Amino acid sequence: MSKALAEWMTLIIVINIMFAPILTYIDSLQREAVEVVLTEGAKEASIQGQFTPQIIQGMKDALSNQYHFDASKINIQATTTLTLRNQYLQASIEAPRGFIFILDIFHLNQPLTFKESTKIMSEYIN
Amino acid sequence: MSTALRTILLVVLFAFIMSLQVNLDADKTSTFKMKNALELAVHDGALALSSADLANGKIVFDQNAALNNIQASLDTNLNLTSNAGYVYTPNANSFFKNNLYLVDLEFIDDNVTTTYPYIYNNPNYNISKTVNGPSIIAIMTTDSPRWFNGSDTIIRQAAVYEYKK
Repeated sequence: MSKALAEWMTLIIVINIMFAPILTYIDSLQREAVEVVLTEGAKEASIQGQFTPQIIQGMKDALSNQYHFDASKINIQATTTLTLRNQYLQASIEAPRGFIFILDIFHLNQPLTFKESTKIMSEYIN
Repeated sequence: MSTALRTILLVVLFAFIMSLQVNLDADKTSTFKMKNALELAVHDGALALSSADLANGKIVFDQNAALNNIQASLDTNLNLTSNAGYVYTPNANSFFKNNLYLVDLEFIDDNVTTTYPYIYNNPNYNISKTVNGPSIIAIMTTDSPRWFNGSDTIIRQAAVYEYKK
């Protein structure tokens, strides 16, 4: 009985550890994707002087189509008013985060979302 | 007993792989974060133009204002604090743990050359780049914020923002 119990406990730990490296890698790639999409969106918004609905939708589409985030759970806050040259535009993206350990035996209180924000100067001339 | 030993060996092996991977991941994340932030910073810096020269049809950077813009951008986007714009100290909740240094900042504008394409060479950092107009080139470096012990890795990135003529 004790042997069977020990084997099951070992199995749970081993499964957790085995998948942790790849899941950490995926977590890191997803964070990078959010940041890249945000940076590219900010560069585009700088030219237009605001985060237009098209730019915001484009960022959402990129995250959901290319990086397989759940579109309904992506939250984008951005400067949508026309901003003149040398003034700042801001944006942040909150996107759902996966998990690193398959079985939550370590009770890590990780944030359930990625939140990345950025600030860029507007290039727009009236 | 042998099962316990095998299990311990397996756990130690995976712990080693995991720490190695987390360290490498820190290097990769530092690299792309620095690259993205530096690109936005040189973009903001390049918006600081001398209006007097612009009125004469020349693109000349207001270098003090450009440095201020770069500093403000890096402080915000990487969560750092800087006094003079060349040395950046990470804030408590920044991804970075070691100081970041803006080791080179160069302005190529109509005060330097009026012929483009212009070949920019920086033998110190082994950079050669053809620019098609007035440009700002920034190079930044830091030690990777590794979570586990390992040899230090220096992260260095360069970014160029150019006006195409």
